[in-house]
Amino acid sequence: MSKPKEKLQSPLEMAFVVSPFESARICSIDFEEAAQLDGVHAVLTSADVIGKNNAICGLGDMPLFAEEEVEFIGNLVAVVVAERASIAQAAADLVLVDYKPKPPVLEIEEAIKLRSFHSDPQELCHEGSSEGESDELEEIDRSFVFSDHVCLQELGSVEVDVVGSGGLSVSIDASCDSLVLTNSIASLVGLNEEQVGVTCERRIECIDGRFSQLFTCAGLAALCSFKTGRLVRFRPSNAPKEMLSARSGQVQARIHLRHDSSGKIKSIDCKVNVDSGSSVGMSDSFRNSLIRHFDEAHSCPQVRVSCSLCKTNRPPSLIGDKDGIALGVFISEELIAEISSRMNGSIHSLREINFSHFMDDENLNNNVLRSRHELIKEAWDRLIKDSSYKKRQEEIIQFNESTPHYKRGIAAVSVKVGEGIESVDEDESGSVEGSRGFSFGSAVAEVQVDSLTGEIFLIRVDALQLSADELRPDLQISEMSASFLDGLRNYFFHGAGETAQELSDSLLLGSRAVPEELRFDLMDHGEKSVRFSSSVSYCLSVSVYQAVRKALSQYRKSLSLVDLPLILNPESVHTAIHDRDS
Amino acid sequence: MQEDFQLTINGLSYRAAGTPLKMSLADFLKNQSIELSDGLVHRGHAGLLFFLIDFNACAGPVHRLIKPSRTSLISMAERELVAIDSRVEDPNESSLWVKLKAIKDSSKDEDVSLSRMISVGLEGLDDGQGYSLFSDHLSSAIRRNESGMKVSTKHLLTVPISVGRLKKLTYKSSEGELFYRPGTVLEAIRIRVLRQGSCFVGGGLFAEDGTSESGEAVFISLESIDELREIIFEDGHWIVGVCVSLRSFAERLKTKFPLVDDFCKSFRDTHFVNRYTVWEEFSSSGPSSGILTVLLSLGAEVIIDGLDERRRMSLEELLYVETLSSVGEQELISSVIIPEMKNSETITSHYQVMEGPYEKDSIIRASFLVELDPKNRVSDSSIWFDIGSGLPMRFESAEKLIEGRPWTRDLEQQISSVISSGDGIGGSLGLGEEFQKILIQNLLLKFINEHLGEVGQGPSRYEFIDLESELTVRKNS
Repeated sequence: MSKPKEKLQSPLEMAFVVSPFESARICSIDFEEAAQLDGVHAVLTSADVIGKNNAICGLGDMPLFAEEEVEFIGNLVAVVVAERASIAQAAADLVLVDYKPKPPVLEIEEAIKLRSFHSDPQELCHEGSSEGESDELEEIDRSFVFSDHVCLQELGSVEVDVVGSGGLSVSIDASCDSLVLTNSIASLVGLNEEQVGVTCERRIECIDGRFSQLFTCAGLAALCSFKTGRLVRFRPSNAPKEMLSARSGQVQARIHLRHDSSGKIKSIDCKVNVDSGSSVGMSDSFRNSLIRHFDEAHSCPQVRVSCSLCKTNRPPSLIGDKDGIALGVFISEELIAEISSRMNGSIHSLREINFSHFMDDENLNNNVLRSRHELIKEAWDRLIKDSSYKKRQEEIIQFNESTPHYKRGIAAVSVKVGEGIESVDEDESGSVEGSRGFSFGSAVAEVQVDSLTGEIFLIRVDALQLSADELRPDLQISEMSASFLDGLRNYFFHGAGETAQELSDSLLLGSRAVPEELRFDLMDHGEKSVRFSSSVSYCLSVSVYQAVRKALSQYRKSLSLVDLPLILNPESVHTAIHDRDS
Repeated sequence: MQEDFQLTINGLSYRAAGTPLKMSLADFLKNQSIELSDGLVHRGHAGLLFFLIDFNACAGPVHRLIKPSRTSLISMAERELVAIDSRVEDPNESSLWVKLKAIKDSSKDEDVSLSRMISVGLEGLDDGQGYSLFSDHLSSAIRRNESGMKVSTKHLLTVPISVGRLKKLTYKSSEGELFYRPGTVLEAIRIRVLRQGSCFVGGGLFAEDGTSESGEAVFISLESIDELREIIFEDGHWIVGVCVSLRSFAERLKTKFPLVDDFCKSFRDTHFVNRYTVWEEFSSSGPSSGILTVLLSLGAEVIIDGLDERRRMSLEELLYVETLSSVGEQELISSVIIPEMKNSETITSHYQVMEGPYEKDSIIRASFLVELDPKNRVSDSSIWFDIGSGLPMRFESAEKLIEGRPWTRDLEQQISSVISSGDGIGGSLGLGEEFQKILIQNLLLKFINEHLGEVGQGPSRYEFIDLESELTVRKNS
């Protein structure tokens, strides 16, 4: 039996004092009694932060401790470090905080009314000329609401010890980006990066919202260890639920669009409001990538996008750049679908005239660009061929005619993500640098909907992405599959209020969320500027949503565009099928 | 009484001493820094697939996939486990992609569709590991499929020698809890009578969370009682011991009862299926598999053993007349008796509607059984719904509706026009009342349609993954 050879110093445990109010001023914090309890080593508040009071330094803004005010339920006010978890908890209960509650801002509408924003709205504005076409333009007004939901977090226990000459050694029982975490902790406790060593179960180079809670916990443990000079352990089970609740933040988008009789979009006006919560978090990068999407994907002469980050009394939103692209792609696909339903045109030909990555490159004299367009075209054609899209489309028509209770739908979607752009503002229209990286992928999804129960079965998904040379193909493939399922879960099938662990758990084990057939393909090419990006496969999950919508439209033949809610569960699907009158 | 026990992993014994009863296997491995991987990549259970060497209802050896974080350490006492590191880092590995493509191209052999492999790969993921290991498992699952599963063959088909040692073991934890392992039903009941406040536990100790708040916790494991783990056929009846795992139950009876076959389709969580038993359905309010609706439709009976007498009653009577709480302190529901399906004129279906693809718990379950007379009229029927809250409900209005009617295509029309009341189905699932009602009606229509109409089958997916079959995926058609 491998028992520890000698009993090492057992780690100190932490307990947390968090805000019970959505918004309140902190008049005083009295922890004298708590600090005197036997076994308590320290009680820390914002005053004890040596460096910057920011849990995700370098990625955005997310204060670790509340300073003068608490801004959401679960906002951390103080942390107690003690010999045992029970002592720490008892001491935390003794910490007296005098709050003076204030009326909270909870919804986006409220925030807009009260002009409660984190910064000025960021805008993108291309005002090209419409070249005097006399064509009458059709107008479309659409609103989208992306609901607030629980994000998947990966939390594990964290142990931090002081080593050598005041450095810290952090060990994390979960996957994370150790490099970024190192920087973040160093900035929090005011050390050099070399003085902080982070080991984690597995290093992933992926920063998104779901890790920010882990960063908070690791940061806290590091601070406590630094202050007490002892080994400190954080266990998720000891932290109050409110503190660990991670949310995506609601996003509202209003689109005004004009297109001509061929379906070519002439102008897009898009106003987006994000419920960022009490601090900006990573929503700044969300905003950048959303705007970048509209800048890059649509070829129409007039694009106006403005995005505001609303300040509300909720925990900071964890949406990041991946979500920005995903929502952008979703909105674009919805718009194309809407135009197609109005004009009875093929979706793909509409994509070809509206998405810049499919546009004919006659007027492009840039060789790099032209070769990219060819590459994208080739990739698209290959997917359509390999997935026998057209053949299956016909089979599905027959299937739908012969079976009254089941309907199938198939949809193809393409996603292009531009990379390596720091700022959208400085971009001069028309000139594109050859060295700028991009990634492209497309997916064909087939689903079956049961009208009697409202259940959805994922029958087959084919996805193709351009491969990057520097990454192993198996890694790229697995990254694709994971991101695809992740995107599906996040945007279309999520259940409200589930903890992250339940979510990750339920994705496993032959769940129906994994399609019956899931095929991934990488396309080799000679293009240097292609990068592999998991954001692409994340966004490709929109193909399933579109396929469901196509299946539903078979039930409601009178309407070619079914108003489908974002959350696909039996009830919502059933309603969408039977809600003929609306 | 002893304070420590052993468990064997990959042939090596590990001693556990003074651990709390509810410590999970995962925590144990981690706390003791047990390295089971050669790659030194993992600590504890991370990234490993664990199989319990067990025996099935016919006493045949099987390897059951378990989740270490959801398995109590104590329930692994004196048992033998196999841990497989599916991540073999081989730098010389040629491009996996090429192989993947090859498999894809040769997918005439339907056994190796990628999603199947992914689901095998996904099996290994454990709570809180997130997706990061997804990739590795995917790759390894593919590799394993290719290599014809060369891993740990020496552990295959071993006889569960540990079973004998399980009996009569009593364990006292560091926190004063007692864990008994009686060998017979009578012994179990005696302990229950003698030790006040004690409670029975089935396969998974975790299911009993919160049952005893007081310090003096006494658990009596039913797992090692042989007769509770058997399925016997006798006098036209199947007698199923209550500690038979859901997997054994389904595997053994699915060819005998189409309803059980249908029931298999609802299996999501291999761990649940491997570790949970029929007994848990009666005694815990935790996750449920919906087996009760199946049993009710099949007209099952139960045997309740007491200290000096044995009662036998129908399951319906137990649930609705006697109620479960009337099973006394000194009694134990020991087996379920299912009458053999006699005539071929019995039509059955079992459905589960899930809240979404990611849910493991369904929002509604329904079991239908219809018997036809020689004139092809409905002579008897048994229709049960389980709407997730409380006990299953009998849909008597529907039974009346179809009774005596000819079993022909017109039935759907007749039913559709009559059905609207949905009597007897109250309760709330957190669904819209209207939707709930419609769903119940629709399931009835679906049942009639599937058997009389030409409704195409929805994609059926159920496969058991078991080392018994060397981790290859069996496809049941």
